[in-house]
Amino acid sequence: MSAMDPTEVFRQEASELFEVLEGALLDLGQRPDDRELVDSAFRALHTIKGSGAMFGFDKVASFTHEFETAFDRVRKGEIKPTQELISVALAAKDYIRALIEDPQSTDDIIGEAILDDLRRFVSADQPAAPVAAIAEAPPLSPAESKQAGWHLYLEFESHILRNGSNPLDLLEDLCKLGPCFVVPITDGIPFLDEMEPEDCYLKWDVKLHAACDKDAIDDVFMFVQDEMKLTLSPLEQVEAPAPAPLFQLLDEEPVAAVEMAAPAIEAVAAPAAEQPAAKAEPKPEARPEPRAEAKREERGIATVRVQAERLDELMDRVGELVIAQARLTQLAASGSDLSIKMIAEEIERLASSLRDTTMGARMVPIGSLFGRFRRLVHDLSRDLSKPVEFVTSGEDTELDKTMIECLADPLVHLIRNAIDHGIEDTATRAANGKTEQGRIELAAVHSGAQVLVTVKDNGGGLNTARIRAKAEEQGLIAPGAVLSDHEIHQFLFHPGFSTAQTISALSGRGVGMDVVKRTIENMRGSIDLSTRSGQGTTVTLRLPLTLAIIEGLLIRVGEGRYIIPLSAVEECVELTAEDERSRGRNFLNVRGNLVPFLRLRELMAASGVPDRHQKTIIISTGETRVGLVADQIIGNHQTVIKSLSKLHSDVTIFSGATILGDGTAALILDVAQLVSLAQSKVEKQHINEAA
Amino acid sequence: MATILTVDDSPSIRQMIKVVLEPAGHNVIEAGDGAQGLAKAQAGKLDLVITDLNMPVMNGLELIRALRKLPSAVGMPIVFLTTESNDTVKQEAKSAGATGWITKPFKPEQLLAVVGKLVRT
Repeated sequence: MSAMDPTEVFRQEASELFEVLEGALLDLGQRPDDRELVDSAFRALHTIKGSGAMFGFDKVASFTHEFETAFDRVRKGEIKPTQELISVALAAKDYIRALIEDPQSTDDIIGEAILDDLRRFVSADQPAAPVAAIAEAPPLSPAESKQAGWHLYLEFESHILRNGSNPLDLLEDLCKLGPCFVVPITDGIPFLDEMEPEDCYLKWDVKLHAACDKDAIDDVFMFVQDEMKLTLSPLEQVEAPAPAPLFQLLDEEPVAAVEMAAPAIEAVAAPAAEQPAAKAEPKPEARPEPRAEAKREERGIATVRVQAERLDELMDRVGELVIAQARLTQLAASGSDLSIKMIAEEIERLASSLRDTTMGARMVPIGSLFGRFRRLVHDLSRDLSKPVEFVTSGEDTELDKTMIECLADPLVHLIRNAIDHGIEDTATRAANGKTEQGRIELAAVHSGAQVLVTVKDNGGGLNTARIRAKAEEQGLIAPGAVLSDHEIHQFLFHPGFSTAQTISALSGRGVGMDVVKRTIENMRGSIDLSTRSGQGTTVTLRLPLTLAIIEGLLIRVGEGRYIIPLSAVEECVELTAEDERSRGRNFLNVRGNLVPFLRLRELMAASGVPDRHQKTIIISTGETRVGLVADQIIGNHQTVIKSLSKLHSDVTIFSGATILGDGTAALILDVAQLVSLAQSKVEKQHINEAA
Repeated sequence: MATILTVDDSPSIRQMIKVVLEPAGHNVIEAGDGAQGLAKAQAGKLDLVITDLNMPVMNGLELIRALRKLPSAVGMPIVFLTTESNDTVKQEAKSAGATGWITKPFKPEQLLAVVGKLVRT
């Protein structure tokens, strides 16, 4: 069994707890009286402290301890969670996070300053307890002088068995200290009809012939000290033999004494396990009723943590299974054995549902991502003095895990833009009769096989005239060209296009909308924006549900087979004799438009005789179209993408590989790379012709 | 081999318990809160429950009380984890029906010692 390093698990867990903590703190700013939020923040702190101490993060434990002390006062209602306290708490949270994730980056002086701030909220009469208090100081009673042994008298409370302590086990532990003479005292046993089957009626008299510490004996009874009567007296070196005949008998065979005691205990104890706890059971105390938060958490917690790699591996295995199954189906279809056909169908059904389930396991709700942006909005709105209300919806919408990670940066950019450029300053808003507080909505919703993520602000909208002017200035369009507003807005996605008049710390730093667009397109998604002057802008991201499987078009070039992502395919046409004759120029006439084409045979250096009728697949990325010439178009193929090995990372025209039904591999063409390759060829031609 | 249930909302603590107890030959199952823990206890026979006290949904005290009402859990040892060194918490948990406790932070040997006290194989 492979065991994950608990410290690593702690790091992962801590980073989730920080999100919970941050969320609770930020919400607390809005709803200072919400007890659930205080409890949830407190619980997160408590866990970070406890686990931190366990895994050697001593600084974390001591720092968090004081943080927790301050928050405990909030929990007890002694102090209010004011905005100042929340700001300090957020700073403290960041500091703890740094202590865990990158201890080198932290500075004790900063930590002390934060603690000082926190302590201001803790009253003077409550000095922060030193962290040593976490570790329990064991009560060290001075070891008593060594004796020849001990004489013990044990009497347990009657409920002891029900609570999981077994006197027999305790006696056994005692025997481990040295030779024992154990005598059960049976006078407490009532008549059978008065006997509670779960109660313990026996008492014991024990002579322990070992010169051990009193501590060692206390240790044996550590958990039951409060539920028993234990009298302990030193045993004289020369003990007079006990007068009772029973005791004499036992004296000869000390171990047997325990053995004899055992059936007696078991006879009393055994029925306890079968009997439902009847009247003697402890009264259930009123449980605080589960509230909304509890339900929310329940959903989050009913999960199993699995390393993402394992899911990827599982997906790979399932992909291979699907491939093997396809071969089986082919084989079954070619034969005439009905029973094999039935099995093949059954396996096909199972494999496809297994694939769907596996895909489902990779899906995570987008809410985890949304949570991160609340801090961003909070900080930005403070820094820019633009009050902003941040509303999210559709947190439950699920997306492939890899995609969630890729979405973070583009969304940060879009939200920054919305606050920095979208939302007007308060004075402008007031002048336009708008509420002072701006509003940013981040929403996710399923739409068919896609997920739509929208970032919507209620700011001033895009300044179409300024974008146009800038585009003309950069020579992207001829002055006076007739363009629709929508077309003009597309210039925002051009590299190096920024209309921000001043570069602020937040936006306009060169990482622009073009990067956002490229990232989204790499995920096979698309980005679109719509705006209404004076009313705001909405950016819509359309994303496929998963990255692991694509619909592809399977083609053959020479002996090799390749997959083109179907989403990039516009149409398929036959390469006419006329196009063939334009050798060297490599342009194709598609209904009057000239489209450059690439001969895949040349690109792949395919051997053998080309098919007589070459086919062209027109692919596009947005506005640019390119034709790819292949020998044969085989058809649609649902493809499980496997990434190429590191050795092939510099092979740019392929984005991955897959395995076909007959067990051979097919490479997946990278559409964006092929388009730019074609474009650069066209440019070279222009230069050559000009020369 | 004993079947031991660890109930804690902190995966790292559960993992720590697992990596200590599994090599000692125990079968460790996990639950993230009291309610899940109770469900696991209802689902099958356990030899020991190690539970945190401070947990969402159903806290440790509630779990201990609920477990003590299960016929199958009569006499089953229940150990709770606590960071507090004060006795109030211990008293409360003990009177709820807990058998013993482990004070956090604990070392693997301490965990093994407590388990060894309460689980006989």
